[in-house]
Amino acid sequence: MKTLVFNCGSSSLKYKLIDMPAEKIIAAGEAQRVGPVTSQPSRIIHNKGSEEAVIQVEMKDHKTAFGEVMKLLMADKDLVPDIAGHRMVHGGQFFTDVTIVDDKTLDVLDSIMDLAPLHNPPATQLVKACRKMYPDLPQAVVFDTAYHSTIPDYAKTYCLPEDILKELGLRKYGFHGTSHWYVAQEAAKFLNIKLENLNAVSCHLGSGGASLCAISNGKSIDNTMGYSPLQGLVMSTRCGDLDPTVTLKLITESLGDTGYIEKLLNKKSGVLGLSGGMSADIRDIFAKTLPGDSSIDRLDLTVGLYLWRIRKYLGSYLACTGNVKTVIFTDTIGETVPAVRWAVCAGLDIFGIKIDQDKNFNVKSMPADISCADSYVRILVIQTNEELAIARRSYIKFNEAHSAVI
Amino acid sequence: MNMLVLRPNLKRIHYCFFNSGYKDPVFNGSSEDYRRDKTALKNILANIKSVSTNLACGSDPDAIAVRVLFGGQYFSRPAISGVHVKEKLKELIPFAPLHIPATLEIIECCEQIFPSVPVILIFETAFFAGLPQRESLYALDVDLMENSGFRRYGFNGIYHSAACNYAISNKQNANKKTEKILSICLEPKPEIAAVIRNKPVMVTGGATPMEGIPGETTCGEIDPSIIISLVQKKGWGTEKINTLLSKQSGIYAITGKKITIDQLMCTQNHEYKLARDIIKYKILQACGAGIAAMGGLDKIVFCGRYISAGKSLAPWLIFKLVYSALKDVSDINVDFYPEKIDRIIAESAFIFLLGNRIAAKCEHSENGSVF
Repeated sequence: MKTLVFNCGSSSLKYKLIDMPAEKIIAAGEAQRVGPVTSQPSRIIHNKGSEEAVIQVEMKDHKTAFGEVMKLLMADKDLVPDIAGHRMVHGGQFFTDVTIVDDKTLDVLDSIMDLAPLHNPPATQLVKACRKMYPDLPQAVVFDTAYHSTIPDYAKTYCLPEDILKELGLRKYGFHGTSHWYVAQEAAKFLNIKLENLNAVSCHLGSGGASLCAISNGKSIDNTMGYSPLQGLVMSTRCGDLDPTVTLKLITESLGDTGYIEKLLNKKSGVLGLSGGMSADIRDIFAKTLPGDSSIDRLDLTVGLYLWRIRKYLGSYLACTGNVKTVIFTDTIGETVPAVRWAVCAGLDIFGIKIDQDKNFNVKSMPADISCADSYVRILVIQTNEELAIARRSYIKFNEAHSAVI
Repeated sequence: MNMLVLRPNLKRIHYCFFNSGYKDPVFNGSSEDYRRDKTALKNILANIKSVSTNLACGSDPDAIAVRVLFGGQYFSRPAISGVHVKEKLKELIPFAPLHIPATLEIIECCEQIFPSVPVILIFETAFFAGLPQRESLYALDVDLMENSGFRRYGFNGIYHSAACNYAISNKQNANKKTEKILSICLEPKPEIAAVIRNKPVMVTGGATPMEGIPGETTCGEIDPSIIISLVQKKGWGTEKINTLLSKQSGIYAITGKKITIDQLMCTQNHEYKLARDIIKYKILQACGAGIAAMGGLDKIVFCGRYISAGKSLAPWLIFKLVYSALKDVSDINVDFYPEKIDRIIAESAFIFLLGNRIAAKCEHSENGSVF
């Protein structure tokens, strides 16, 4: 079954056509510079096998981009999709699983748009365009929050009055669920155990956002992100955890300009803020490749805070999950920066974690096990693949629906 | 040494008088609304003076110990009040605009009612003044943090410090190390600290006691976006939100009842299950974070006014840690530090004064020997 996966960025649209269940990529590509005109023309880079084509075409929004991508695919009889799967960041309270799109789905998607104002609207636009232009193409939506729907009440409830929690839908949603779910599945496969038997802490350390996920019996039981992606770890430009009074003071000092504070905490904090605006990428800070040596202290401080928060949360999740036998590192930083993995794991023998320095610094292919032979906990480096995860989930969902009808 | 302990909070002042050689106070009490006007506090202190001279010890106290909730970056140990100390306190007013003026007022009244009696300030934040920066700083713009003084201070330092000292000296087994200690302080705003050789490396309290573990009425950790949403979607001002998060949240918000940590933890009341599960879960998580911060664990010590809640919590916590999370650990020593805050403050002040006198003697003695 040819499964077409869409992953919508704020100004891009990535797609992959994957033959399921063989998981073979038939075609892939990306529409770049979607939206208002920029210095360079918008274009689609399209790959089929070893052939690459670059198509320059104006794409003023995601709907247009979708139309152009579909034109490309439909023109080649090998590339006509059987089903489509979309990535959606926020599923709110309603979507706790992969969802097959019908008219009702569209209404609910509209109602939760403001929970993720940057990410949900373009993806929603795409789902609508797809349904309108190709009504016979079955579609599924895979939500980043869905994997976390198993987080128990005691971990997802903020201690605020019930009426306010209900009215504003305040609770921990958790994010990066598609990635955490995917690497959990890959880890189980690698360890040759069933996903239901996996107790793990998954560290999704991206170059932008980052979160840890506590996994018990294959299910998410906690995530460091909360109601929004702002809570938790020190990220590239997000502050992560903050005393509530600090936020209140900042709002007071800005004379109630919450837009400004939202931007300050989301875009100008984290690694960027700590390094004094030098870089938002922890790899630059680690490498100390930035100009001027008077700022070394500041770089050390940035690295120190970044690693310390991950380490504390790792300890926290090891304690609350219990019987953890696997720690997973994934996404850009988790996959490619051995120094981060080393600093986070070293000296945690009390949890049964022993990282092998040689293996850690010589990861040649993934999945890789970088723990010492006598480590109780296996430390794995696994490449995340959200598109494949979306294809898997969509494919399984359609198969279930299909067999239910029969 | 006869010691008067004063423990003010925003509305009420607690006082406690210890006679030389006695562990229990000869008298104690508290007064509401001590700051309602200029004379209220003076009257309270004058009353204490008359009780002390007539009933308790026949004279004024030898020293007055005042608990101060916030000492900022200036006070990493107790201080004897004087011109210099008062100047430093004034500089802290912007960071604790309600507490510091009250402290200054108390010092002033003490000087008037008990002239020539030294006033020793015991700070709740002092124990945490040396927290490593990786723990004390937030991931905000560096210049913003420097200008605003935003940092993690830690709060129940008096309890934590005394409890850790107790845990270190109380060796059940001479061969067992007591270097890495988790201190679980069960007060209305519970706080957990990870302490290596009496130096804290992690604490759940933040810039204020609101951060960390939810309390009887405080929210604990929440997503910063929630506050922004409350302003944007409810149109509330920051003062209203502050009241919500500090007075109407926490256990109270979940159970709908004004109950203590003790009442929550020591019952099996099903109504309170969610609140109890939340608090237990947050404590377990904080313990895990502390163990990772220390890279090990030698001992757990419970302290605070609700150590009885600690006694019902400890078996569950130890089970979770020893049998589920930790490896190669067969048992963890647990201490319950029973001392009450007033006694700890009196002892801290006493030890501080003693140290000061020894230091002063050293300075005056020609050969530098105390003896």
